[in-house]
Amino acid sequence: MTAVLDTTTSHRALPQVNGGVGGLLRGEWVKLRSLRSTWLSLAVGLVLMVLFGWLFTATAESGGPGGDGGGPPGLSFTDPVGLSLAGYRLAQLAIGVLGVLLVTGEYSTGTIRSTFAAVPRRWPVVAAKAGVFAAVVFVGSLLTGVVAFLIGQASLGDLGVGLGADGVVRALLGLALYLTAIGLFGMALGWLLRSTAGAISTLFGLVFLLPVLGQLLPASWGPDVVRLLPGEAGAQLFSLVGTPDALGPWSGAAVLLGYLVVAFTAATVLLRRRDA
Amino acid sequence: MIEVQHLAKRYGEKTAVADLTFTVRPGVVTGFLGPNGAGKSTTMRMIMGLDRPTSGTALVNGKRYAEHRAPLREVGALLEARALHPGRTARAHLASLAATAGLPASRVEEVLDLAGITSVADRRVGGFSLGMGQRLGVATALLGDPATVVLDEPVNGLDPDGVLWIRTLTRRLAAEGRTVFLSSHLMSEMAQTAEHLIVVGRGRLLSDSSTAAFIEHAGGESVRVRSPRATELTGLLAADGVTVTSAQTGLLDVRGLDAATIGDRALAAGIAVHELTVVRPSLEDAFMTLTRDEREYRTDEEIAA
Repeated sequence: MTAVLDTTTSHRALPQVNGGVGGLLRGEWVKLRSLRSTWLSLAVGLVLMVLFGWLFTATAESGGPGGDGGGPPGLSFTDPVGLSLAGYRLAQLAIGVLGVLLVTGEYSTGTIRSTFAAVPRRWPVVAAKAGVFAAVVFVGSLLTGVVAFLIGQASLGDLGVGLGADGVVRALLGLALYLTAIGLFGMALGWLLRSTAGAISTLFGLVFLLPVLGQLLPASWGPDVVRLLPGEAGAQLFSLVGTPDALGPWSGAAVLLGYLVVAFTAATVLLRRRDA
Repeated sequence: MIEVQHLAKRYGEKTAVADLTFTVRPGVVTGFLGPNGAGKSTTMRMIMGLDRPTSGTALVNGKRYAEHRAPLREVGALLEARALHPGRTARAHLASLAATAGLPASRVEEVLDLAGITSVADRRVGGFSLGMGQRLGVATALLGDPATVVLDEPVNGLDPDGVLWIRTLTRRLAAEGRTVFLSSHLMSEMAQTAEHLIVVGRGRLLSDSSTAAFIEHAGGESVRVRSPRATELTGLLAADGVTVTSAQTGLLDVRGLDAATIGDRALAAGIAVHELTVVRPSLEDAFMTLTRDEREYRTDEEIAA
């Protein structure tokens, strides 16, 4: 351990600029991949999505959640694709939480200081983290969506449809985009609130709780509020059977994107001002 | 080179750092000394561009931290023990930063080796002892082979081996021409490591001088003399500019004469001397002298509250 820090040799050999976009993305990829919790959360969420899709489709005929009569709205025999993908509600939970943790984990452990010391402008970190996470979630959700669809349609037997059926590709791509957006929304909340508990509660409140509470609002204006919530608006990305209260796929996507833009903009502005 | 000018940080009513101005020069180890809560860590975070100063500036190698294109190449810092994700391995922690900063992967192995933690590089940091975590923190600081090294309480939690390692390492880094700035609340450790001292209390600069001058300022050397005929010896030594005090029978504390002169005079008079020791005031003494007012002020404030 003598020559390692010799100024005359190593000092000049090292590059004089930061790693650029490639370096940032690689750095964030190493961070993401080196935590067991990343893969655990993703695996749990995605496996549950397949399992529940299978459960809904397999029990459809015997009066399960997908059966005629009972069951939640949007899950019915008339929508075999939606039925097989209905487990997404659990996947979004795991993915959203993971998005939060990837950011708040840096704050709670103090690694955010090393990160910002390496990238003092800070916003490129937000972008690189989001980019890497989005790529991983998108690929994971797309593959899982296909698996859930195939298993679900197989268990529906004659009522099932094929990959080539109308809207199936749109539903699968839309679902992957939706889950990616929810993960990113969790990430933005993490940057904004810097606390795991706060960000997860906010995410749950907006995505899970408010839609349920919204059902209790007066019929005259309640649905107008509910359809603008991130989960409800975003679900139109992959929903093939429109309900009268819901937005269309494009407007749904636009509303969800709006949440992301607002949250990330606010987070980046605050990040510039705040002490790390 | 670190140049801090009129740096201040207030959190609402509370002032953490008040109008600090000092310069940390390359080539020597500069200690940043002060009791806990004196504003050392806040100052270091402002130097690193992590906390925004309320007023004033902190320049590193001539620029504000955020203006450097490759900041890790300019400044490396250990800011707090365990700023590490427990679920990540030491190697992954360093590899992610190296990638972000555009440093070659070989640098990761070099600093692991330098910090003596190559054998545990693939273990999760959560299982690290405080000392191992601290070594990984130092490895992180040196990753970019920086011209300026900032270490906040680097010896905290280190065993004697680790303390010696930090002392040797920081001296070598300074000898290589780097700027080395390390904080501590342990005065004895600083006395052995730092050549220059910047002392703060309650966010204010109390002293900025060489370690030797700082200790000198606290009262300089004295000579302890033990002799069975101490009273006679006192008469021999007494002169202008020499003070002799005796805390106990047979023991003298002499200021204003060096040990050789005292020994020679005792010999000339045929007085046996059983002990002749040069006593340097400790850094603790110097620090207490310097901060007495600060602490009295604090007590008054506490009484008022």
